[in-house]
Amino acid sequence: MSSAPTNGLTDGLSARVLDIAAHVDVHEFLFEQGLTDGLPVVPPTPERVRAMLAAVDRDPQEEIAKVPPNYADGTIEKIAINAVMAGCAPEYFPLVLAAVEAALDPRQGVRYPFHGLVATTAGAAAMMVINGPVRERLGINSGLNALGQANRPSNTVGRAFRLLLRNVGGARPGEIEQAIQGGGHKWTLTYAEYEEASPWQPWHVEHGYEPDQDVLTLMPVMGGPRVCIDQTSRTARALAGSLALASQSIGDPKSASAPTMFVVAPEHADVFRADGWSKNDIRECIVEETAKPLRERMENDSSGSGYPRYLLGQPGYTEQDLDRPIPKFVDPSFIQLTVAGSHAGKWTSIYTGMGWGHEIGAATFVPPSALIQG
Amino acid sequence: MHDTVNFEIQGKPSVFVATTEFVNAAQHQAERLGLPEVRRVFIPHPMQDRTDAEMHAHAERYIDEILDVLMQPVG
Repeated sequence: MSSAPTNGLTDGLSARVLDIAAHVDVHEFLFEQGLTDGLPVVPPTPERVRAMLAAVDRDPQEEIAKVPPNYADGTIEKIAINAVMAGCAPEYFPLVLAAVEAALDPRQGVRYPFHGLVATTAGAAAMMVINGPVRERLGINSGLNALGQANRPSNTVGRAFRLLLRNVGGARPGEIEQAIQGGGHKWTLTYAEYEEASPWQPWHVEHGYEPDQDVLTLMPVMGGPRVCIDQTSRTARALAGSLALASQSIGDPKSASAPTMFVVAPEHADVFRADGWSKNDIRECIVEETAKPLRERMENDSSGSGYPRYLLGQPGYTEQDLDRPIPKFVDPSFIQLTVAGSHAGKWTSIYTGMGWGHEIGAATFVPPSALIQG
Repeated sequence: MHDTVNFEIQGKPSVFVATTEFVNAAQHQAERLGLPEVRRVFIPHPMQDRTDAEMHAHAERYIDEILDVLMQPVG
């Protein structure tokens, strides 16, 4: 490996150029350098990086983020390099930038640690939800298998974000990154909302954007999907009750949940539509159904999770206090709802947010988001 | 670790305390932040299921070591 002549190809770029001998397999070389997640990457040649940068009207040396956990300089160029490696087509690049900008969204009603995505034992994933006309323009999946594999923009945009955290931020598993178990969702968990199948406003409109704006929203996700299969409920009330039952024990079984995403498949959305239920109606029902008396949230012989037994008798934990209802969701906004999936199946996928609701405290959750701009 | 290093940069002596499960992660983070010898004390794992009384006992057991380390020059 050595510096290579570039014949002007790197003008305006600042990244180090690696000259890899012809007999060396480029993928294996990059893997050995610790620059990949183990899957093949697209070698970030100056030509490819330039093509990626050409998709946006931004100065390649503009630093838009200090990338955790090392707070390294996240320039447009560095982000473009990782987008190339992840397999993004250049037209996806605005989504990758929007993901970084969303992670820095200052409007958070609760702490949303960009840093926490990589420096937590929770092994959080960055769930990305895409709204607006960009869904159709780029073919981002909102229907059948929306939460699964096989859609190029979904797979590569999420992966680019994770590679950025690794290669620029320094989040290498086993080193600074300490996820207890991790999960496939850490590679990518990106989907478009099926706005056309939703009985409600598109998610981005609910959060203050215009319908024709392209928006990427980021949710920190620790677990899921907890798939709630309810093929038989024919009233909104009954279906909301099933969602409450399914979400009762997500995360720590007896503790309050962090902001949680309910991805409602179109056939479940149809049940809510038929009865005219708003998202707030669903939230109200779930909050009420999942609140349990403190005595059921205490550590006991059948489950050691919950409020520790030694607190019993102390202020706030007296016999009278044990009937006090303790919520699973400390604020209705901790229940977020989007629509995605095919039209054949009555279920909802529940994704547990990062952290513990009682630590976050009651506050309105505003999902971090950013405009997708070329 | 970021906090500990930030305090050091400001000239305020500091010591990082974590459980033994994080020895490796702490070293990597300290190196990347440019202060590989930052002061640190590791206490036994686990901590998350300990009672208040057990945590107070931990604190009693390690406070002298923490103060000793804090009084040493970095490195």
